[in-house]
Amino acid sequence: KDLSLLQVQRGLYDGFQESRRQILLLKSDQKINWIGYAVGNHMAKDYQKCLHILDTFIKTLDKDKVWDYQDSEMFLYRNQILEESGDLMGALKDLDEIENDARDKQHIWFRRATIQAGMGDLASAEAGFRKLLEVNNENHAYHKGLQQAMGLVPDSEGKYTEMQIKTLSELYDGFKAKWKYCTYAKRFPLTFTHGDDFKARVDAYMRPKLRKGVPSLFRDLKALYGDKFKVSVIEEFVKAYYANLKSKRRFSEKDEPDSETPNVFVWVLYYLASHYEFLGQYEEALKLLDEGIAHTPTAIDLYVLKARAYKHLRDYQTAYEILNFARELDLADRYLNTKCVRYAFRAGKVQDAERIVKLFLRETDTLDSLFEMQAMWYEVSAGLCHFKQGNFGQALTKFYSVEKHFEDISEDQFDFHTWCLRKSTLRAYVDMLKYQEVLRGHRFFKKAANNIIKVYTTIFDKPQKTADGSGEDGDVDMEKLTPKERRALKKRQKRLAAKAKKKQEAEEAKKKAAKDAEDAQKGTASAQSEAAKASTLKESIPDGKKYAESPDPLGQATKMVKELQLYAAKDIDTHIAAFEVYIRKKRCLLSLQALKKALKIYATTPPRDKKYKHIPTHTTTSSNKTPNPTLHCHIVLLSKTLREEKELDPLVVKICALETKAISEFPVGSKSLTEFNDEFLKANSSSLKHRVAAARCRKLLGADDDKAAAAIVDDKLADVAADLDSCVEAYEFLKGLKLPDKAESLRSIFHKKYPITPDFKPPASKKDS
Amino acid sequence: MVNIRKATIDDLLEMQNCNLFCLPENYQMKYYLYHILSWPQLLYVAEDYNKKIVGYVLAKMEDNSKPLHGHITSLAVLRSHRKLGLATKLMRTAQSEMETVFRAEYVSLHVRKSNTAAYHLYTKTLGYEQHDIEAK
Repeated sequence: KDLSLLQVQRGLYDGFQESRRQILLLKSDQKINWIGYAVGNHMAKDYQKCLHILDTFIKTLDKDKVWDYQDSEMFLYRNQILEESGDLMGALKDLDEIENDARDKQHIWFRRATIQAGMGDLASAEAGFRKLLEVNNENHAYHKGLQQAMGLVPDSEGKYTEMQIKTLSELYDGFKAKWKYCTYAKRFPLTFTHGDDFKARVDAYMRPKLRKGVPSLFRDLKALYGDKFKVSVIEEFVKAYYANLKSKRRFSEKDEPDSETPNVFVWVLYYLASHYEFLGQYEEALKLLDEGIAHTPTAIDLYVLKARAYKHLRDYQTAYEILNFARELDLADRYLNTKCVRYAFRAGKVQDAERIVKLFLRETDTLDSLFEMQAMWYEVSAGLCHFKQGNFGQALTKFYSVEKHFEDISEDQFDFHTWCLRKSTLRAYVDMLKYQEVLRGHRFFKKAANNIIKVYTTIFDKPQKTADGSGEDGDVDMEKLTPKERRALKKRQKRLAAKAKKKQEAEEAKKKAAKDAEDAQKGTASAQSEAAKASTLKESIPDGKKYAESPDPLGQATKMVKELQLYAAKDIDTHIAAFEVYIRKKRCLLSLQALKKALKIYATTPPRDKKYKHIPTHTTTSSNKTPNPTLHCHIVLLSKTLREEKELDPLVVKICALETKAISEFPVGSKSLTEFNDEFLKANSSSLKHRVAAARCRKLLGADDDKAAAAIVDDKLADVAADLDSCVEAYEFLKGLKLPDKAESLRSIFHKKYPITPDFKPPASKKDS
Repeated sequence: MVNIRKATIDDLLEMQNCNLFCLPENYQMKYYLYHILSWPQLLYVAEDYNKKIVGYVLAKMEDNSKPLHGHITSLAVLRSHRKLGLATKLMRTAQSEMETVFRAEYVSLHVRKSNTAAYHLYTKTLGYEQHDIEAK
């Protein structure tokens, strides 16, 4: 039995199947063994046997029994097997048979309607989905099912025919009348209508929400912002609301003056500011927000949006200060507290972040309780902060903590193998088993793994930096300081260290005093278990310092690369990270393999602005015509390595040469890499991001600083498409060269474009944070 | 448009995250697994169009209770998504499933007396009656 538990825990389903068979033979009087063997067959994909076992078992049950929840779950499980095995007709018939006894009605109706739709019985499917909507009219799967059954699906570009629009309008206007509170019925028509119809509807949709003060209205309508017409319609309306509310407290000229209460104005202003902020028009947004704050200083949402705008402009310090002000307006709200902690970390304010997050922990808890409660949002936020400050040890502690949580969650399933068989919640159980195969594809794991890799490659690249992260100043480059500054820095570090030590001693004394008091009250037994608990907790928290001091950072990084390749194979970031590790290890074949995958993913991903990533795309096959700048750098680096690296296995070089010949993005044969890079620059000189990539490659290929800078800065710079991130990248790169004049002139150009962004502020006004 | 649907196992991490964001009462993942593997029909999420979980309800049945009743373990909606009636919808859905699937006779829950918004939701909107006061 223990063997079977281990086998299923590790996903060794063939072994599991066999073990459960043997258990059943030994003890066929226990229901759990029949169920267990059935599941074993299911996981080994032996559907027929699974059904046979279930049926055999069901036959043994008392026919007059009143079926309970567990039986109901078993019947539904059996039905799922029928469907999975491909016997749709059988599954459909079975649904009819078990309907009275199986309690999960929604599931039955949903499976029935879905199968019917798949088999072409659209009339029945339609009836089925309508019945489901009576139970839950906010369920999108039910709405989509109904739309599909009625042939109301858009084409590959998301467009509906006029006939469809008419039918959909009737359908959803009907639902709106029938179900007063159904938001889907009100909102969905905004998606498929256009022209004047859309205009009337969006006006009618926005007003009640603005009156009520619904903070998520912008987020709600943001999904429409891929459509330029709709954006302009919305903007026109909201600007008119703003003007009319300001002057005559009404939405439009058609309304009576003073027909709206004063706070509606603030919500309209909030929407308009959100709108401008999203579109990158920060000046307008901030102007409006300041107006709103003057009007209603307690409107927390205004501050939150203002902070977000500053965040987008990379002024993390100001963003944090604003959000902290908002937090203090409602100390009972954990959401604000959490957001504030994240903003504090982003601004590099570790102590503030730790102090603020503690406000929602129990008095007796330390920050370790965040580890205990698996607060991964905190660990990722803190980890990124430590990394940025060069505290690799602490960063790794946090990122490896996230990894540990996933390990624990994977182990959690162990106790449930027996539990689920007993409870008979088989469908949920099987979902859990399958989940183990994708668990680590979750965004927190990916973030942690990707950053672990980045930390290790950073450590590898700069071996002089120590892994110790005790100083608040992080890793200041000592060589760049004057002797006076160096003395001041050392003095400061000494003072901080002494302060920290004193604080630690005081805390420990305090803890000991508290513990002694507790011991006196409770008796030592329970106090000891508390201490034991605290120490086991401390032991399970990963020791980032040890990891950072690892003699083989790339080896450690490779472990994470392998995890990502397994669980996040579709992400381009996975393969970019893999390349970064393998190229440093001089493993050209593996680097090439990663690069190939990245290129493939990039080629089949529709090109879009990160801003619109939330809007679903309809085009399935579209290729990226412009090359990916990061991948271009990789190509150049790999090609250079293959050509120049002395200690490569000649066979490897040969294979790579053959492979790269077939990849169009690679330079042809023995073409000079400098020429290849110059061609790339010429073809993409209208994009700053690409210019920076070309400049990096020039430096890599040995060009002097002037030549490298020339890739970025020329007389056509003013016309180049550049977002804030590329501007920062360009400026950072130029700063790294020994061309202070060129860097300074670039800085002032960018400063004019982004006056708030601290990266571009004149050096005299910059304060050391 | 926010989607109200039954939670699947891959929602649990996001539910836990939502809970950590909003409430001081937090649970380890194992507790969420315990719920979904015992009463899968009683976990619902509110999902925004970009797949973010903005609200959830975590409920259970008090097995072997007489009369049989359900219990709301945890309910939360992100501050950014308030005033949409999501909490009400999540509660109503969970309550309905407790009745249909589990034949519950009534539902119980705990709420902090100082949490006026929640107290109002439960007593005025959803019709709960105060049964008892527990010391913290």
